[in-house]
Amino acid sequence: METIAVYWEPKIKTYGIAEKTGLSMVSFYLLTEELERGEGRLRRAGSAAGELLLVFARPSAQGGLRLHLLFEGRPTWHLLEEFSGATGGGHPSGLRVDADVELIYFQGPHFGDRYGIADAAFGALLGADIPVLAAACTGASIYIVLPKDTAAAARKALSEKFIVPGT
Amino acid sequence: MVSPSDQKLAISGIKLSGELVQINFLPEGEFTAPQLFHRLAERRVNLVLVTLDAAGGRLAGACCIAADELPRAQPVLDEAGGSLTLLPSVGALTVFPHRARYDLLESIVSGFARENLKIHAIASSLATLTFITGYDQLDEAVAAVAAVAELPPNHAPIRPEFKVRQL
Repeated sequence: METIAVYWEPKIKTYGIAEKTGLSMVSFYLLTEELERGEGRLRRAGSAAGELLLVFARPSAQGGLRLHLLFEGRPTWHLLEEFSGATGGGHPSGLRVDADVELIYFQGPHFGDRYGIADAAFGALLGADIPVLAAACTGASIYIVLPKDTAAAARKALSEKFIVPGT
Repeated sequence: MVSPSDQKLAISGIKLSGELVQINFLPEGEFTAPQLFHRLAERRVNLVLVTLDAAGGRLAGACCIAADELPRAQPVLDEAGGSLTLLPSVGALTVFPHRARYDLLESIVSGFARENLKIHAIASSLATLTFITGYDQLDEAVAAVAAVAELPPNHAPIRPEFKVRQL
């Protein structure tokens, strides 16, 4: 069964735009083989992982995934040691830490079913020359990771295309 | 292994998508990610999931569209040529709530690996954690999640019974 909906909005409604600052994004390659051995870095990191906010991954050219974990504050050295450990097969871990990054995130009605939402969001940031470090969009939620001291400008740029309640 | 504490992690449910197509795009591709999103929006193609990261100053990543929207997207994909790769029959498995639990991520990733289930992409929100895997492997993926997570009694995965499409 298919339900066809018609939206027309001069500006796209949201339920509000939120920001978080002082975050760290840890990125590395996660190979399928190491997980199959049951000794992967994700497992070893265990409770050292701290306050996880967001996770997202895309396929990597090496096989497996390029994984990104967004944490509150700075990750511990112990955690980074675990994530930078051997991947097996001689592959480099590709560990990268982006410190002091910021997050802007928002939701809106039926975002997961409507075309043009990502276009509006990334187009607004591109138009304001705000660099995007990473992003994850799923369901009705959009999460965009930004460099330090850019979340406020991003919010302003997004408010050109999106309605932000209370502003 | 179930979790670092060897206890199943409680979740409220699992939601499955319909058949999707995953579009992987490289930083050196014909289009930048915002250009690709714009072109797909012009053709009224909805992005069900997006994951992006900056590589060499440009964005690499993946997005998923409904399989039945592929014909509308095809001219854009043809124009991009070899800079995109397509995974033609994938599906999304979403667990909720996520509550940013690192051990839930680790348990499910390891569970997928033990069952030789591919993970093509991951995207989370504060509420949900979504894995892209083979569309014909979704039932096996549900079993893999059920092996590591505690579901409510008589739980059955939420499957798509209707689709909302924007004109």
